Amino acid sequence: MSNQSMKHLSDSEIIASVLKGNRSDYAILIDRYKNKAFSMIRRMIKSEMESEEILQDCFLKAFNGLNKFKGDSKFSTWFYRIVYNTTISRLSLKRRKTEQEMRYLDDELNITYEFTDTEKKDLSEFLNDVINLLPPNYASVINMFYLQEMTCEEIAEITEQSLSNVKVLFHRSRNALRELIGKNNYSMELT
Amino acid sequence: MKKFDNEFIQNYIDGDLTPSEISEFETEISRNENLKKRLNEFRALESGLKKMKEYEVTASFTALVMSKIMKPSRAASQSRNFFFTISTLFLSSCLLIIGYISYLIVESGGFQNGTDEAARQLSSQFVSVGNFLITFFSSMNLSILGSILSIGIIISAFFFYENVRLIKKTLNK
Repeated sequence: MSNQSMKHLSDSEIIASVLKGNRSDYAILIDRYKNKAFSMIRRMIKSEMESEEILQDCFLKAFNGLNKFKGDSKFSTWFYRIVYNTTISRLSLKRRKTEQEMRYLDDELNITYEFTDTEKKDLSEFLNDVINLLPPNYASVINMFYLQEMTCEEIAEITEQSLSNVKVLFHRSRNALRELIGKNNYSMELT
Repeated sequence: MKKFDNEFIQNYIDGDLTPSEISEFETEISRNENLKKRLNEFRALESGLKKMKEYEVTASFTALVMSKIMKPSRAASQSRNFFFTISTLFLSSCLLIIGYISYLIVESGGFQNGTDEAARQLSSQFVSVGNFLITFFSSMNLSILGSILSIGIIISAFFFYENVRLIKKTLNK
């Protein structure tokens, strides 16, 4: 089967082919998930180079553990859990308390944004900057919900947190972002 | 106004309100500028977040990961080749010794005179091989052989270490 026609196959069909010995088919899965997973890591880690290094590690981990993937959940959920946990581990190397912070909710979320340029940015550019100011757990939830179009249930499964925790994180993130939009008069763009 | 708090507005945006709540809320919006402004903040955020662009990895990313996935198989094949060579050398040495003994037996007439004679011949051949080895491993020869073997072992150990290091390095990548 050509590589082009393989691209239309489902994740589980590609995994079956890889497990049969067609290692090169794994490239299709990499192409399918690389940018979304990269965005998730980058929102949490912030550094481009380090994020790419972590993503490589995640794809290698997933490849080596592919025979352990039983298909109980979707491949994407399984893979994003690897991505999320690997990123948390990397963060916890930097800051010992991060893992604890990632699992439990902070009391309040306060972020401030200051314009450095003389010209006002457009809304998506502004939001992009502001999301990067969010703590990793908040930024990852926003990223998974809007960019990866996951449900709160899926996010809870990936992050191994309770559904109510995820909803609180999500609620606080949106409140913080909305306040900044209000403070900087971005709501006028849509009126 | 408490009714139209942030959670209520968010539920309106998410489509989680009943038709009567929607109707009530929309009536309030049409006459309350402040509420309309707040709703616009919610809409702006939703719209902005939905347009959020994903970051892209470098163009060579897939090729780089695939090269790392393919490499371990090459390393394993190198490892297999190494052990195959060692095993072949060992088996060849054994075959050479057996061949040499067989040659000595055939040379001296083989097993032509019955089982007892055959056993005697075989034993005498082993004795002659033993005598040869005793002469070969005499004190002077032994020191020369020891030196050669030591050098051989050191060289083999170096190559073995290098090979293992290379395999480990490839797997870690």
